Amino acid sequence: MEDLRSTPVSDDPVQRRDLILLEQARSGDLDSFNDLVELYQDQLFALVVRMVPDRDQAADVVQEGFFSAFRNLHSFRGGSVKAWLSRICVNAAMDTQRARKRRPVQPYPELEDDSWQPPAGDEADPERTAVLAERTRALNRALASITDDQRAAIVLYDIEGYDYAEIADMTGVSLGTVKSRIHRGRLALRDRLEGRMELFRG
Amino acid sequence: MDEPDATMDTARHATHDRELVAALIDRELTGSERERARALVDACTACATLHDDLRTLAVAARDLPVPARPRDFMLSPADAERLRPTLIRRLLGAIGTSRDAVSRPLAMGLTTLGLAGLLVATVPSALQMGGATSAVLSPVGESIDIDGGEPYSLSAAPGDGAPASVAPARVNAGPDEAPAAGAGEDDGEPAAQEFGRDTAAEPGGDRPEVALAPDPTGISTLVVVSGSLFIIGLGLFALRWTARRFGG
Repeated sequence: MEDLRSTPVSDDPVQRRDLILLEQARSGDLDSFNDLVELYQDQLFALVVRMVPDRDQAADVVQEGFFSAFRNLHSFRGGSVKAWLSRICVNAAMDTQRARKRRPVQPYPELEDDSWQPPAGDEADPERTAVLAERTRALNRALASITDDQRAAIVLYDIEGYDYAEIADMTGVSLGTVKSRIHRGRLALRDRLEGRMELFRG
Repeated sequence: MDEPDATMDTARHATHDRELVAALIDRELTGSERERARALVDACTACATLHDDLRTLAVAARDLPVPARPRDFMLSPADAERLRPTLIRRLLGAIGTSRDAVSRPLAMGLTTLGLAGLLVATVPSALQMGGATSAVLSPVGESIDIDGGEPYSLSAAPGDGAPASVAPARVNAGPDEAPAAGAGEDDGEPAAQEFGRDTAAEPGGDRPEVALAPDPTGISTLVVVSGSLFIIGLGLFALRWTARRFGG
């Protein structure tokens, strides 16, 4: 059994709290593990649902990610607990993407669903709300139409804010491949939105 | 085109490195690459538009709304019981950690040792077998005729731990030639030579038929041990890969 005391203790209070919860979970305290779940389930679902734009599949992926994390508590190697959980969920999401590739189905039909639209406030301008909704729909559709690898790279870099090296570590590819996926993915997005860019420039 | 000037015709935009422009919005583009990308954007209006669009899309992607999660992901006590780490999982976890300094060199050592053992067991004996047989006999298993007459068969026999090609041999001949076989077993000389000498002395011997077979025991010990080491080493590599892949 690895000993967390041998991992460098962070000055960051959030990381310190996470490490304490993780250590307690390792010693068999389920409540501590569930505290971690509660802390990160929204962020992890947001990450995964952008990679696998299907709510039910994304929920299954996140659940499987937490199962896997619990099974492998002893293999945590220090560092950020959030990054460790993200890595597990990203791997699970990529496995799901691979499985989808083997059994091609309608690519993410539920993107037309209202749950993907920004919430409209009471005082919101209806015209602006409509533009925002259209923009969201167009971007979601474009994101869903690029390759899984490009989408994962863009989500991790542009949306989640991980750097090249962290993404390379998470996805198990070289730094050069990560850069290429990000850059080509952006260009692919823009090509798919050619003619609709006015929605975004306004 | 690395250093486009300000008068560059935007009609040539198609020849520009779009990926470089896409990289310009990264925080991590440095040095000469950043300068080259900046020069493209400054000199070509289409590149500048592309750059602005990509930046706008990156911001829009960050602001995309996310649907609420459909359920809670907390583990129940039953889940926890089902998922509780077993001894094997703990072992896999230990192997998969970066602090495991043993399994990789051990796996490399075992596979190298096994491979070396397999080479030692097979290559020299194959070479010697080829040399011995080509010197006196035809290729292994082929019949040869010596002076015509009774068919002879020669096979390597266990003994003295010598490699198959030089192991003491037993010459099976007709009932009258029994002593020739005994000589081969006692002094451990190469079978082919023994056979050559003895049969040459046969008075008026007929055409013996000879077949040489490898000594199964001499080879198998080294091959089995080396093969086992090789397989264990490969298994350890596979275990490491599994632990790293699924160990979280």
